[in-house]
Amino acid sequence: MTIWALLTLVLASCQLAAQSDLQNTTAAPALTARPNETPAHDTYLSIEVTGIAGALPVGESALQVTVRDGAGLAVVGAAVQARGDMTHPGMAPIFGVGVENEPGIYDVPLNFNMGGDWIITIDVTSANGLTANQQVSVQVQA
Amino acid sequence: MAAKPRAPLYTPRPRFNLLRLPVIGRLLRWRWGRLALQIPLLLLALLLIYDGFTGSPIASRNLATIAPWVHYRGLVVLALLLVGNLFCMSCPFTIPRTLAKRLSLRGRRFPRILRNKWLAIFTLFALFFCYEWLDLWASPALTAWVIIGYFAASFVLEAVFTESAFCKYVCPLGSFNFTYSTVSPLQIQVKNSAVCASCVGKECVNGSYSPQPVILVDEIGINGQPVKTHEHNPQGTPGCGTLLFAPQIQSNMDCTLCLDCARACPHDNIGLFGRGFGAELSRPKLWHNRYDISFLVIGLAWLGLVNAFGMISPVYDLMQALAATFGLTALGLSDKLIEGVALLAIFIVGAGILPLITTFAAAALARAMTRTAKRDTLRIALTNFAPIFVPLGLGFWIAHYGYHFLTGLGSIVPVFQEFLQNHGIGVLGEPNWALGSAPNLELIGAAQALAVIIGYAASLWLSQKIAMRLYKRQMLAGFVVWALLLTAMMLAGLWLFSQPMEMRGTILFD
Ligand code: SF4
Ligand code: SF4
Repeated sequence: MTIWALLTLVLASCQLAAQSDLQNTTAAPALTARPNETPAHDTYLSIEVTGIAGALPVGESALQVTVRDGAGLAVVGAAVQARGDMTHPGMAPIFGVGVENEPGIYDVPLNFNMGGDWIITIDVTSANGLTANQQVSVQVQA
Repeated sequence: MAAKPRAPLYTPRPRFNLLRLPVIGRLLRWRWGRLALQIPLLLLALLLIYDGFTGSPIASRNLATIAPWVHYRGLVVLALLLVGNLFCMSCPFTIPRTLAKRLSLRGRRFPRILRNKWLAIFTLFALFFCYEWLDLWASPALTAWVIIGYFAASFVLEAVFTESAFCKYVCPLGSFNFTYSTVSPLQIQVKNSAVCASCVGKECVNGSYSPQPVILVDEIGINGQPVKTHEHNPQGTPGCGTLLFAPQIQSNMDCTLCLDCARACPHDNIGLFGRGFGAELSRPKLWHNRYDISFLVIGLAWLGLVNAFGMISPVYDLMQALAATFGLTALGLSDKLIEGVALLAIFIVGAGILPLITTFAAAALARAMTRTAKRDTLRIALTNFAPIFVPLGLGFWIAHYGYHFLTGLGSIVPVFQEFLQNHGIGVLGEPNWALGSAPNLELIGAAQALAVIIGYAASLWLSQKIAMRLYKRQMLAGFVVWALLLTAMMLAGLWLFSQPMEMRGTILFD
């Protein structure tokens, strides 16, 4: 028990050093189009990514990206692009382009070619030129 | 008719000496030769620190993570195999050391109790553990901190102690390089040991630096007048930082290839000579039957397996099982902390307990089977066979680092393009991410298997040589025991490298 307690103490102190950086790699909140303005309902976009709960398999997967405006209404006709980077350096990124299947809901196919942690960066540009982006972490199992 | 002069009965074969090559040799022997190699790497290290703190936090888009964890490691193992300890030769961490030496009080040596490889074994273990647990590979900022830590540790140790304590006793990278430079085809050797016998200053180890000019007399003629003299002065060179004495060097272990010895020797008696791959490994009493060096070499081979195990999916199942078995999840700890404890248990068993138990058991069994228990101590039986873990260990590391190197070879180009673009420099154009695409993974997998098998074959060959030397007519019994251990490790390696990679930084415990 004492050994476990000691180990825990040592590891906890080491973990603090890693903490700040680890936070950087997890999902970041959606950004608004004009960061310095107070967003009005029609001047910012919100992004919600689904289809990433649990581990995804290696191979083709589709993420669902729901795009809404400030009033919570579906944003149709937006350009949705996704880029997947492995958290391990040296791996090529993967790219996907969203296809709108329902109003404001875009399916983004991505071909995960290796198991591990991936960071997906979603970029959205609405028809009236507003932009937003979001990063989410995805786990892929080999 | 005048008799033709007879050819001598025996002429030693001329040896290849890298320091005699026209341009490279001159550059390497030049007083500032090492600095010229270090400065590009120093600039690179500063660039990595800068990008690590200011660039993208995504590892595959940051130079701080790409360059050290993908390219540097791959190039290091290749250089060690094909040339020698080139990284230590051009290591930028030792540049502040020169400054530190000037600040140094001089005279204080590294504590006697630490003048061995145990500390280096610990730092290696700690580095690999932190690499897996804190996902150093996934964190540009942490990687930048590691680089800063190297500079700081090197500076402090050099300022406080006289010898190159950091390189010789502490640096995990150096210890890795020392171990595998024992297979390299180049080694520091003297040209003529008779010259060393009459050498007064032994500058190769003592250095030729002196604040005031001093004349040294190496030979006095029959008339009592000095015929061979040389001078120590402020332009002199330091002697060997790791305290190797050139005429006695048998092994590349501890040689940083700094070439200070060659620059300091007033008799131009030192060369960087060619030799067979791993030629030193079958020499008797290679590392003076030292347990510390033996376990550095043995531990590194096992760490090669454990490090690769940390990159495939069964490790996550094992960590889950350990957490459940020891009730870690019930303690209310964070997932990261549970992962740390479980991973530490895997490291302690895989790179600590298993190497100890298996090598002592093999040594004891070989002693019993060869009926040499009365003649040889367990230490002799074990340490004589420690070198057999070098080729197999190198095979593991080449397979692992070679995989990352080959799959990520082109990835540095778009990352560098993006770095320049982010700083308003568009000369290299838009990042071409397609360059990062992994080449044929099946081919790389086959190359990995080949590296392990070649390492294994070389280890077997070495084992039979050592068994023959140690056990003579009983060699088969001694050889079989060590061959079985090597075979088990080789099979474990082949299995590990045949698994699909899965590099996860976050594990959620049930
Ligand atoms: S290598 Fe040079 S400096 Fe060293 S002992 Fe021999 S002659 Fe002297
Ligand atoms: S000075 Fe020492 S470490 Fe440097 S090359 Fe010579 S023997 Fe190797």
